[in-house]
Parts: sequence; structure tokens; C-alpha cells
Amino acid sequence: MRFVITREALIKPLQLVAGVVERRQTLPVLSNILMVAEGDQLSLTGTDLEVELVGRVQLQEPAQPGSVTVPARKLMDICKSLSDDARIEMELSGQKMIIKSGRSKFSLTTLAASEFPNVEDSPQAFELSLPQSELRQLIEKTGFSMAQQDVRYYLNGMLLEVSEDSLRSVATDGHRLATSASAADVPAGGAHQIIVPRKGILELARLLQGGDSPVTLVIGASHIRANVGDYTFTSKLVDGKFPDYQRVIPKNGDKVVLGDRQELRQVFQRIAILSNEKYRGVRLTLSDGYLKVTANNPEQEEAEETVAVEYEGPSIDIGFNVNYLLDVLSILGSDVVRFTLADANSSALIQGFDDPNSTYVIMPMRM
Amino acid sequence: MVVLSNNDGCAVARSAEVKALGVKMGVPRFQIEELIEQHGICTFSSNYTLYGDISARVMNTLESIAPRVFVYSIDEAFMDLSGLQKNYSLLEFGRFTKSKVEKEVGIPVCVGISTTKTLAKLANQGAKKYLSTGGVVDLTEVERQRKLMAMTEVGDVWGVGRRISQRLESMGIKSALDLADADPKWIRKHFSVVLERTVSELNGVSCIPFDDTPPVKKQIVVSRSFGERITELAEMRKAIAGFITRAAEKLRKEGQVAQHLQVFLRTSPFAKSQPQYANSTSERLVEPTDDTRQLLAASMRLIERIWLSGYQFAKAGVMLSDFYDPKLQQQTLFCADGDSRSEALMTTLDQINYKTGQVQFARRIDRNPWDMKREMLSPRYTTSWLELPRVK
Repeated sequence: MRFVITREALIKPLQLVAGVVERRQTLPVLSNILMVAEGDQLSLTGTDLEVELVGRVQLQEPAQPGSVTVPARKLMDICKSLSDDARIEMELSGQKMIIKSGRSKFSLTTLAASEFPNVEDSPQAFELSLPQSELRQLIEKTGFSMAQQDVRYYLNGMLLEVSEDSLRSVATDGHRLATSASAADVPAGGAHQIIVPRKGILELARLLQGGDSPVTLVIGASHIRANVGDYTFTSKLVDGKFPDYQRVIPKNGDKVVLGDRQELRQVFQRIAILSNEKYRGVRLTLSDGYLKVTANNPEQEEAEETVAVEYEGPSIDIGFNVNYLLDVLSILGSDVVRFTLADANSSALIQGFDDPNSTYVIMPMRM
Repeated sequence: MVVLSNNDGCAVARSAEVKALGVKMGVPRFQIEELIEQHGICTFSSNYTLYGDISARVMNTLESIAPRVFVYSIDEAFMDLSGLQKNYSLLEFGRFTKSKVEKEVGIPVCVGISTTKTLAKLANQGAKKYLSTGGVVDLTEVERQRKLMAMTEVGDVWGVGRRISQRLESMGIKSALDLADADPKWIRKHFSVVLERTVSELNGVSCIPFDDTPPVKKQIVVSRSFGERITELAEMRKAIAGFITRAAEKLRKEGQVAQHLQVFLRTSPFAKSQPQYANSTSERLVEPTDDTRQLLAASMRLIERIWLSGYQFAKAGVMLSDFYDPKLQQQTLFCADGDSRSEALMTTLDQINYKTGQVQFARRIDRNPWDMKREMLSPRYTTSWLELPRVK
């Protein structure tokens, strides 16, 4: 196996593929990436047995074919350290991968390509295509609400729901929920719900840089595959039942508040400084035309600010984790934000005024 | 007289006479069996209920005579005497405090007075050590401070642990005075900002806030060494159930809810001929709780995860951590917001058990070999009606 490649051509796919490789591994081969050279194509594969990413690069001259695995981080660090216009020659010599560039020479250990595990494929159910930017939006608008290392393993991921004419993402950690929908061409009978694990979602989002160029999703019984330009992403699905998100989107809210998103965000950021570091609670007091935000901490320090909002109705007092509010206000696309509340013990519904496609639900905090 | 640790294992408190016989702190009881016989040493089991109640009484008395009292531990408290000096002699006030506690609770105490917490602790040690002081030392004058510091080993300074004192001594800082005269910048560089604070405190600059909010517990551990080794999972489950039940009671007494639960077990490191195994595992609960039922279920899941057959387990335990205040509770989307009857149930359970100790979870067998052995317990005179002293 031997090929020549520019640093410029190798660095980006190498970084993306190496991103999948976990720092700590059970199997030694999992800290390696698989390199396969054939004709004028080089492919790179990284996996953690749950998520697999294959990147393909065009070579300028045909390679001596072959395949082998090399340590991902070391190879990446070497490539990064070379000068921008470097030309890299890689050659397998016995058990070692010899890397030459200018006057530098490196010799890396390898493991046989046959040891490299495949993420099993499952029978394909159906396919759908949408612009990369749309899928990226669906992930960005909701990803922050995914749980992390929760014993309810099905929350450590994102629900993708395919219905007649749309693709919807839902994420929740049990305290808050985010959902966003996008129109999509869905083949008939394709209604489907899948849970993609947290890591898969984060890696997939990194791939979706292509704006309007399409991403094709192939959904199987236990896997999802995404074809994005020169990359093929595969992830196992979480085998579990996601909670019924529609049930927790409140419908009885009768107190509607409209406010300037940026202004509110800044108010919450200021007030948050003196909220309890562990609980992050802030108190919202609504009255005609005004919202008062207050916080205090165990040192008895206090912050208070009143901001003008569009609201008419009875006075209401409700507590929230300020981080949850800030997360939503940071991601909303709209300049005007709408809160819909019922009472101090019921969840709040938050939406952008001119963005009906994304919906956020936050449970209050008893204070 | 000696007081023994949990399970009547080791000597944890010794009277002056016993110390004079060469009985060291923490020595196992079986090693001093002969001495006990020979000298008629009285042995007592630890009686935490009694200590806790007496401590509360002492603190009550202190709170009745000073505006701010910070209870530092079961037998230590700081009183804020700012401004008192204008009208009173501090030494007189110290003597008054001592005699008032003695009269109202019947417990002898020592009083140390100074300008910083570290110096006050030093004064208190002096009061305890030197009988001529009558148990009260006013250490507000710099000259007296320096004199006492010169006579005090650096390891006896409040906040200087054994490791640090060993390092300090190797660097030639042997007495408290040496430490007070050390360059604070040098101390910070070689040790920590914490020790630099101690240096300033020894020089009369108060760095440790008085802090009259009682420290909130950050974790609760319940663990025991087993009298008889445990080799069956069923037995271990019962033991863990007992520990978690106790830990949950303690948690509720603290008025906290916990979200993190750890379970651990190990074989005896002294049984060198036996195969050794130690492990622990933990779980972050979906929501913080103080409900024994939930904690019990989680602890059973955890113990099964680390259990291995074929070992003789000598010790196991549980730890609750990541505490929250139940009054500030993030509400949830999916769980029915707690079990609204949970609080009432747990309160009732604790009340019954406080009086008679008769309601128990079925997983826990009533009297087990790993229950604390306390065969030489003195009566709980002040907290149990059944153990009131009788006048003949």
C-alpha cells in the first residue's frame, strides 16, 4: 500500500473521522482509523462500534492498493503539525506505516485491516433526502435539550420523527423539551420514529456543512445512515421508547407574553450572576406590561431587573432554571419571543413569534 | 475509662488514666483485653444519641449568652465576642461561660479567646493542657500569643494536618511560632493558599469568615465491617438494605434530597490468604429523592452489578451525595411529580422508628450480625423515657 496526498486534502476528512474515535477504548483497534487505498481513491473510517464515519478522498495519482489501520490521534497530530502546503507520502512497510513529508519521516505502528470492526448493517426501511442545512437546523434547534448519561438511556439521544410530509426532531432531558420540524419529501408509508444516540447526533451535525446540497438518510430497523457528499455516516439506533412528546406540550396556557428576545436574554444573563450556582433558579413576576426577574444566592446576594413586555392579565409568579431559559433564547431565530404560561406549577411554552416550526417546553422550579 | 468505636471494635476515647497505661488511640479492644481486666478499666460503647443531645444543650447555653455562635462540630463552637471588650474583661466572660455551661449542663468545657479563629483554637488547647489556667485562656495580647506559639508544635495548629506538618518540620518549621514567622508568599508557593491563611491568622489577621450558617452536609456514608464475612448475595442484599435505610433516615434528618448513590464492598485486606476483591459502582438517580423505597430499589440494582461469588466480604457500605434542597425543586415533564404521599409516609415512618424502631422494610431483617454491636452502651438518659435514671 502506497499513496501520495496533500496535507490540505487529507486534514479535513481525517479530523472528521478521528472525531468519532473515542479517547479511551476497550479494543486497541478502535483507537485506530482504517485506511483503504484503491485506484485513485483513499477512504478513511473511524468507529466506536456505535457510530461509524467513512470519508473518501480523491488522490491525484493512482495508489498502490492496500488497507491497514493506524493510530488516529497520532496520525492527525502529525498531519496538523506539517506545513499547510505539505505533500505527504504514506507507505506500508512490513507492520509499519512510513509517513514522509519534506525532510520529516515518521513510522507508525499498524494493526491489520481485518481486525477493524464493521458497524453491522440492517435491512433498509426507506430513504429520504433533504438539504443539509435543514437537517442541521433540526439538530441545532433541539440538540441542547438532549439528556446526558441519564439512566433513562432513551433520553440520551434525539428522536427523529418522519411523518407524511415532514421530518421532526425532539430532544428532552426530563426537565425541558425542544422540538423542531422541517418539510421533507417522504415516500408513502414512511411514518417512523427513531432515536439517534447523542454522540451520533453531534457527529452528524459536524458533517452537515454543505448548505443546500442534499443529505440522504437511509433508515433501517436498527441503524441510520446518512450520505453527505464524500462521507457516509452510520449510527446504531437507541432501542427504546421515547416519551410521548405531544402529551407534554402544554395546551392550556392562557397567559401570553411577548418580549424582545435579545433584551430578555441579556436580562437573564445579568440576573443569573447572583442565582444559586447549583440550582440556577430565577423568579419571574409578571404584571400588566412588565416582567420582573429576580434571583438570590446562599450568600443572600440579590439581583432584580424589570423589563417591559407585552402582557395583559393577572399577576403571576413563577420560577425557572435560568440556564434553560437562556438556552432557548440563544437558539430562537425570531426577534420576538412568545411565552405561554398557565400557572406557577405548569410548564411554559416558548416559541419564536414568526417561527412556528420550533417549540420549547420548560418545567418550572419550585422556589 | 475507654469508649469504643462502632461495633465495639477499637478504643476511640480514653481517659487520662488509660492514656497513662499506654493505650493508644484506635487500638483494637482485643489487644487491650488484659489491661482492661487487670486495671478494671470501664469500657463503653459509643452512644451517639446521648452525645448529640448533650452537645445540643451545651450549644443552647452558649447561644443564650452570645449574639452569634457558630457550631463547628459536636464538641466545638465559636462565639463572636466583638465589642464585648469595651465593657467586660474577656477573661471574666470566659470564666462566666465555663461556669454557666457547667452549672446548666454539667459538662466541663475549656474556653480560648483571641482575635482570630486559629488563635482562639490555640488558646483553647492551652486552656485544656495547662491546669493553672483554670480552663480559660485570654490570648488577645500579641506577646502571650507568641509565647504560647513557641511552646506549641506546628502539627497542633488548627488546619495543619499530619502530612503538612511532616513537610513543614522537614523544612525546619517546627513550632507554631516558626509557622507564624514564615514568609506567607513562600508558604503559598510551597503549600497552598489555605496554609497562607493560617499564617495570617496566627499573626492576628482574621481570614476565616465567622460563618454562622451551619455547614450543609455534602455526603452521607453508612458502612460497616461485618462481624462474620458475607459470602452470599442474599445476605449482602440484606446488609446493603440496612445501610441504605439508615442513610435515608439520616438524609431526611438533614432535610435534603440526594441524586447520587454509590454502593461499595470489599474483602478483608488483612486476610492475605483469601482472594481479594473490592469494587464500587454508582448511579445518578432520575430525580433527587429522600424516599427509602426508591433508594432501596436503586441500591439493590447497584449491588448486583458489582457482586462476585467466591469471595468473603468483610465490609460494604453506601454513600449518598449530590444533595439538593427539596424546597427548590426542578419539576419534571414525565414523572408524576414525585409521589405526593412519599413525604408523609417517610415522616410517619421516621416518627414511629424514633420512638420504638418497629417499622422496617422487608428487605432488611430485624436483627442482623452487621447491626452495630453496642453491648456496653450507657443509658440514653436524656432522650429515651425507658432509660431515665431511677431514684431509689
